[in-house]
Amino acid sequence: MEFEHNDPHNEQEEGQSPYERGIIVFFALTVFTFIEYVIGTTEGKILVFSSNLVPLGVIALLKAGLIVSYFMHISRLWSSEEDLH
Amino acid sequence: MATAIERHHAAVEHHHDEHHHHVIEFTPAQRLSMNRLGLWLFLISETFLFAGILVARIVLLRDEGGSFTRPELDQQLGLVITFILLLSSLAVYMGETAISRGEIGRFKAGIGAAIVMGLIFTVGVGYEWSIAHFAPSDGVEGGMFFFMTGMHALHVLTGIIFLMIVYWNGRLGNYTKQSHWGVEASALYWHFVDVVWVFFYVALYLIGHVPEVH
Amino acid sequence: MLGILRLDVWKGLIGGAIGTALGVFITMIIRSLQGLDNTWDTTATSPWNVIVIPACVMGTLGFLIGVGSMTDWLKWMVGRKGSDGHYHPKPGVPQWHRYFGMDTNHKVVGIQYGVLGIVVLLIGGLFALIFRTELAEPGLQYLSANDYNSLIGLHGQLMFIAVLLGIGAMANYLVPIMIGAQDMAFPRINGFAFWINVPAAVMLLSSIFLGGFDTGWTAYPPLSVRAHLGMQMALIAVFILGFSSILGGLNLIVTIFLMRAPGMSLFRMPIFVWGVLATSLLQLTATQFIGLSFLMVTLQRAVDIPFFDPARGGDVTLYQHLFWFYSHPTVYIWILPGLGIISEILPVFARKPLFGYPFIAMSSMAIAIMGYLVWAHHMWASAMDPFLRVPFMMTTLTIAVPTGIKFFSWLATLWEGKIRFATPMYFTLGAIVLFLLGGLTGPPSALVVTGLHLHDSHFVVAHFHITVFGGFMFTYFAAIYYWFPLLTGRMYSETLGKIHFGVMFIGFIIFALSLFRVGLLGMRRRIADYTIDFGGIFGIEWQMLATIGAFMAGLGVLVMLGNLVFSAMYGKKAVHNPWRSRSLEWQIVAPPPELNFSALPQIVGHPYDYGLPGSVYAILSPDDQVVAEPVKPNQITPSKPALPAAAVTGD
Repeated sequence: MEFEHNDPHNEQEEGQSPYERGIIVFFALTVFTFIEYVIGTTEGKILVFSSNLVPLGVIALLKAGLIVSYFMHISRLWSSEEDLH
Repeated sequence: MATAIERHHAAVEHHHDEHHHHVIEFTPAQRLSMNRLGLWLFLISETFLFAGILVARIVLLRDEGGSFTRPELDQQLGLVITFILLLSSLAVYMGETAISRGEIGRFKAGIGAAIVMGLIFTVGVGYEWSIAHFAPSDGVEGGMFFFMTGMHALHVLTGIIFLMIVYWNGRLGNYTKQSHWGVEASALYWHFVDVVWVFFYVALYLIGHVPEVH
Repeated sequence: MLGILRLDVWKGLIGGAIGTALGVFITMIIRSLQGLDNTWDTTATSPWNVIVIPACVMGTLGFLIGVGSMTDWLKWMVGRKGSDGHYHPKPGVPQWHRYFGMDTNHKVVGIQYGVLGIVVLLIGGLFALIFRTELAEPGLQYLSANDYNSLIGLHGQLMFIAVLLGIGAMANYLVPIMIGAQDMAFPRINGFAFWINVPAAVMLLSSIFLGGFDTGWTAYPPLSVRAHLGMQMALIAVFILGFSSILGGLNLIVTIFLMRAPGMSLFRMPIFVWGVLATSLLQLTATQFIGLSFLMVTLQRAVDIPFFDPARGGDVTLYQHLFWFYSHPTVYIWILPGLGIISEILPVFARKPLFGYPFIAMSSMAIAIMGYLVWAHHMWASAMDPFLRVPFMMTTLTIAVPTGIKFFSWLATLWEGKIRFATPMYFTLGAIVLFLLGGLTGPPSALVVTGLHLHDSHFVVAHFHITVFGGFMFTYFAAIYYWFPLLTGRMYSETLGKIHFGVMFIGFIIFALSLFRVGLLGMRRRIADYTIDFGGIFGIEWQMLATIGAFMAGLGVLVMLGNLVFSAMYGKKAVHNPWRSRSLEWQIVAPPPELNFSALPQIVGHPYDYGLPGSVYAILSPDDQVVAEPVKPNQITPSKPALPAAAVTGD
């Protein structure tokens, strides 16, 4: 049955359990958030940008991309394989 | 021709006798992909709403020189509640992963933790509301702050209700390793609410500068 | 007789009343505890601007729960089993009762949409006739200025709902059958989405008793912030209505993408389904923006957030951008299914393949996507940066390209066809003529130089109405007549149908041309009174002529209603597939059974290969195939016996 989920053993053969993957993604999100905080609370010019809108917006997009692809499993929309967990 | 008329009558009778028509059932996999597409379309629709709010924020919150402004908020509090919401997303992810492996205990722990953290986040926003030294009607900075956090908090509360329903149904044993669309749906919604905060946090707390005089 | 008391809709109304009362009392108690004032009045600063928000939300919820549209979900939430989602006749309850309650069958929901749509259309049309009568002559004869303003605003918003309901009717009834599916993807959401419309329409109409509103349907601030309490009701009503649009669009997209019969690739779908797909994408996404813009006005009225108050940093132009980002695409939401119906009906009556099918399909998508990029052409006269005018003018004019593709395809489809004339074909051709006139009056409004002159004049009003009549109303009437035999199994009166067309077409042309004329002479829109002598023709003033034309169009609608009601009850039995269409919905028995197909049909060819010998579109299960009765000599349209094989072929 294509609908049945794979065994946990199969997933572990890939070398990374989904739990570990979640923690890594969360760690990356935390780091990005701290970078945002530093950029946002620093007075004056950030790098070459006259406003901090651009760097902050880019990091926010990165964070959103991480959540959408790893936490929300957007790839399930076009693949019926359940081994993407 | 007689046979043709007979067949027609047979077809008409057939129409009255519903039992001849069978429901064409979907396989669980088909049903799941329909549900997923439907929920994602709903989230895309919601994205337009929040994108519109962000556009309004970009347009409205500027000073005379055209550079961006932001409301005066408690930065540490903002960072802490953002961290808590991210952590709740991780908890929901853990819970969903657990149910897809049939680990009911971990599933309940993950969802339960997310509910608690969602409530803490809501209380945090409420606290920020209570300590704000501006009213919604004072100016667009304050107004936009109450509007954006209010719209987001409304979605957080909805998400908490969904998670509570999922927790309750999980306790009743209504979810299995194979069939747990309810968990997946509320998890997707919760992560979406988190994504919205990723942008709202930046837009409210970090972009631009606090104007000198109100 | 007591049976009528058992309709579920009464339970909904009771639920709505309870919800509204609860919302009012809870809010009033909380406000009293905070020491706030609850005095009743209908001014813009009334405390009731706050109280009506929870009242409307809880009233809507009460209605939706009462009518039974959320029963299954509520059961699921507490872990109980809901219904199986199918209709089970209850002993002693007549079949028609299901049309007045929550039902998940897409055909029932389609009819519900259609009937409510006609009711709202009649109310909106009545309002139009009232203020059109006022405008027939200079001076104020029948209405106060405030009533006039409320009526034009309500006419706009009611027609807005009526058109969306009409689209819901056609899309819900036809799309699942056309693509060979049993039902919509989410039948419960489908029924739920319909029932949202009822409390929304009631709320909208209630605004007239709460002081009305004088902004027109667009609700521009700062006027909408200062309008009576009725404004708040209208804003909330449209906001709540948005849920219906979004959920309906979502449902249709999933249905179209994932539930097509085997063999039905995207480019083998009936062309109407493409129109619905494009419309649904717009509904799904753009609707959020009218919700957002109205919500911001609602909040400014209720808690004084100064979004649109320049003195406190607000920006009124922002409202216009947000508003038109939905409200321009909404015009395409209205016309895309209509244009799909033109493309659907023409090949059947011309007995020729639809010319350039993939181009028509793609032009619908192109109109939908480009529809997002033209909104600011409504704002030539606003405080928008003048720099933006030229790019928006260019995108607007570019819309003519995909629309032009459709026109040339229609002409090419008609070319050398064996055209038959029946009421649906008359309305289709009428729609093409009107839409062409609407299209030709578009560039003068879109070009900045002439647009600034024509802005807010009756010329623009006429342009808009002729476009929507061509793009939606006439195609909707064509669709009603065309699919009437499918819905009822009976034939409408062809004579009355032609009278409807004649009266409506001539009346509407008179109306539109008169409006173009007075608009060019400087008549502003939304003006209750005027003093200018616009002149006339044949001794009749243009304004009077426009009123006469409007009444003729109204008369046409009444003729249609009489025709439909009478024919549904006493009409002649329709022959099977009277128009000899190849589309799936005509191959099954009319009216379609509870479940459309007993087995999924196989699609093996293209839908519009009319006149191509030996071409096959679909193979149905023998259980579904209807064999036509022998031809009687004086039937309205000729029909020939179906081929022995259970296949839909060209002829």
